[in-house]
Amino acid sequence: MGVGKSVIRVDSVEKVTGRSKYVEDIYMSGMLHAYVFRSPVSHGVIKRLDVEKAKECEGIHGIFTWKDVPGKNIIHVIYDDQIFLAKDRVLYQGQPIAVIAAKTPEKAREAAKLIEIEIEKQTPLVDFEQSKGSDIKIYGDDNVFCSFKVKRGDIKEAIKNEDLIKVEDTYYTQHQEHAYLEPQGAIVYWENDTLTIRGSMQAPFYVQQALTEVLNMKKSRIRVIQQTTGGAFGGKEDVPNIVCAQAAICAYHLKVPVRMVYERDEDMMTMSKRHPGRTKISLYCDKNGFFKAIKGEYLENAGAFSTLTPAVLYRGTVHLTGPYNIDNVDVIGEAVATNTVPNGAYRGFGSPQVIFAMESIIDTMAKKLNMDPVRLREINLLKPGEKTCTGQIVDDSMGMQEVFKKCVKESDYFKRKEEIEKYNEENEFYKRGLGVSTLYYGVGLGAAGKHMSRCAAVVKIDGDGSMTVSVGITEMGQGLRTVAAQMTAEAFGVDEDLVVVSEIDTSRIMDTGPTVASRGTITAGWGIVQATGRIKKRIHKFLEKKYKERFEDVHYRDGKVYFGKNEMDFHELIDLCTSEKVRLHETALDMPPECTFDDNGQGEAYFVYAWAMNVVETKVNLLTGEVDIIKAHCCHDVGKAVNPREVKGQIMGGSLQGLGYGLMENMQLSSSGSLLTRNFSTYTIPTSCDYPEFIPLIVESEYSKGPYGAKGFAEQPLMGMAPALTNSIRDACDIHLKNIPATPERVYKLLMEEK
Amino acid sequence: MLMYLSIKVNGKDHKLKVSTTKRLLDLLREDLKLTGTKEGCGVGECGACTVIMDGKAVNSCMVLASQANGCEIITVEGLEENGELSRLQKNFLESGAVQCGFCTPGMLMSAKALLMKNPNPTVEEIKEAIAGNLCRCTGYKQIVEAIEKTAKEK
Repeated sequence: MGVGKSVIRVDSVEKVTGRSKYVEDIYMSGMLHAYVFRSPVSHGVIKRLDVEKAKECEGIHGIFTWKDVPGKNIIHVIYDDQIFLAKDRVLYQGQPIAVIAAKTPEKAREAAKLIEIEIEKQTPLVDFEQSKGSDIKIYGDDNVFCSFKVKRGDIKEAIKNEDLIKVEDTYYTQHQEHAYLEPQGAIVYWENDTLTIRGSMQAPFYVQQALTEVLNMKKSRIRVIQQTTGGAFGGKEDVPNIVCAQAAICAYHLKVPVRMVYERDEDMMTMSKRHPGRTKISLYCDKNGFFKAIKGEYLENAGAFSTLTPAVLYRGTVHLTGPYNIDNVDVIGEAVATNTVPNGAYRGFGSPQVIFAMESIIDTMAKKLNMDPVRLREINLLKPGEKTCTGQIVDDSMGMQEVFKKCVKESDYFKRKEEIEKYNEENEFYKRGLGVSTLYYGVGLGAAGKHMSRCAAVVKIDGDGSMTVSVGITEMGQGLRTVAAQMTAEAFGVDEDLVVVSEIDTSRIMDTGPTVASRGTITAGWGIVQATGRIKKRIHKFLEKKYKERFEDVHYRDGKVYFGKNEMDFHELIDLCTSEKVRLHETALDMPPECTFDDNGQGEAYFVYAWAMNVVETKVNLLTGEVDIIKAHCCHDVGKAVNPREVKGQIMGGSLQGLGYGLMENMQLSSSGSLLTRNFSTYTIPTSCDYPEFIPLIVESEYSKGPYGAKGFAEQPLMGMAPALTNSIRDACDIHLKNIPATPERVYKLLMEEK
Repeated sequence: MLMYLSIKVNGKDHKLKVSTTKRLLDLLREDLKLTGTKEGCGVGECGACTVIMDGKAVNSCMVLASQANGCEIITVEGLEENGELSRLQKNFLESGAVQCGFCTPGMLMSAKALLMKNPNPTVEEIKEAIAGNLCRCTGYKQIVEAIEKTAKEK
């Protein structure tokens, strides 16, 4: 029991018995199904839209267009450029135009064929490198949504030194699809004159805010409850705003329950993805290999609307230079519009793109210096007390050095390197290689999202000693409910069985921002520590009054309470407190440590960082270009591992997503911006036959301000896998992949060029 | 067109009148209210809807209800033994094979079908048996371990 133990997940029994209720499992009497009519083209002007004939179809209860939106016809995220239901023009294929409410999804689809629409096609802008300043205008004057910079030291002066060694290159990364197994969905119904939304989502408060604006209703009349959610990975951060609004506009007008569950092809075609990116880096070091200066330019393809792009770009820009000590930094990040599906949050949030570039170019530098890539990283990694690219001193919970040592040792890197060299000498057609990446991750929303950064918890202890905890953080598979139960149980020295973590309901808990940015454990934890702390203080005072003496401490352990020379059973104590009317109910609201970011990109960008290193071994078939991933050591400093089994689950699951990104996940768009990979047969993700021998490694450098020393890290496992993979391919057969994924075609082509 | 069919699900006989175009998945979820079986893609690519039909793991989104006429089906709801979790289910919990849970019912059914046919599978055979069941959360290792452990306990 308690923090640090691999307790069984609190939600797993209902999940292995099929009793969990996801959105698609809710059936209500009189329930209708919503279906969206979408733009067939990537760019065009709507000349005529007529839904009257479609409305006459049997089984159709309503068809709603922009004319039927009671509030603003926008989906609020950060900027307000995202149109809810298209009125004059369409900016990507699949953009929503009308929502059909029907007795069955089949009838809705039939009716959609009768919607009459005339769109004057316009040339779509698909290539993001051509976006800035293009004649095709999607956003503002120049199609640039936003930009960030990080400037430190004096780059001009630094690179005047002619003794410095320079390497530079440009790297490209593709879209990535979240591929959560449960598609997007929501059910909306009226209860107590309140519009109630149950949906698969990460951020119920986002949904509440968005619906308030679309429906022009008071927040208290919009109640959002997170339903059991079948995976998210960022894909259910902001897009449930859209999904819920589509179901909600039907329920709003028709006053009956309306359920909407996306089909997989619709989901893949229209929901957010990882931003494709281009990263140019020039890295300078002295003859001993110490990094002296770095220039970086990061360009993100945002798609047709900005959605979460400003926040994604912020993280990418700040993470470009990696966990290295570099005095002179000049990084700019820019995000531009294209006529493609809007991109948004995905595990790593803008950073896997730049980490791929940085970790690749370090290996180029190592080659140039004739140094081992691990040694080159070792001498440049940040040490406690040194500064990041934003000038932030990292000293609290700074586990980089320990992560490095542990990972090199456990992976037996140098010995294996020799073995592999021998293997490669003896084998003509197969070559093996070892690749590494080192990285860090700013936990939480950082300076760019600090307005949303709050934490809260409601803790209630019933007379029998059982407890209910509510937090504003969602469970989407990552294990939050288990971790919240463990932290609550730890506070009172009791078993997790006594704790129920309730579903998130916007009518019952304060807005503590979205469940993103690896902030779940720390955000829920801070609230829980504070709420339980206040209850414990009140019990302490009560006991002193009751026993008429001062107690230094009231200690809770193994279901017992110790104070002075007294010992009492926990249940007995709670029974006593209840009968004497001690308030065992507490609501806590707190703010995390402050973050800052000035005009030059200097400041405390995040309140704490997680640190990681990966060592990946691959085997390349020189005749086919096929790559097998043999082994992966993934070492992460997580602060405190509240539940080590679940931490390892995050490491392995995240790492495999990262390996998929690097090796096979290959989203294809046509030249007109139409998404061609719309299901798992064409967009392939790793299966049980693809995962390598995983060795997850945990380092715990506890965060002094974190709840029980925890800090959060769950995105980090994905972030550095692509470059560790491509670096290992480079080690095996001396080809430099500047694009991912490393498909056999791409690897084979490079092998041929090498010859 | 409607038809009558008889089907045995989790040991219980049912006689139903269903549309000839109805999928087995919908018969289970809508007619029998067995919502443990999930729909992840609807085209037989993700395995979330896997059930056991006459001893074989099938994607129930790719089987018409009429094709299941006279067949015996096992779904996730049929895994518990005497009201208790089966060893396979317990090992899923203990190995950390469950995260978001959406692939879990299908994964369990593929595993069960394998163990019914081959009580002592190798790791490679386990991987192959669940190769049609996608999981985006765990990285698979814990799932394979849970199945391996179940086989060893027998």
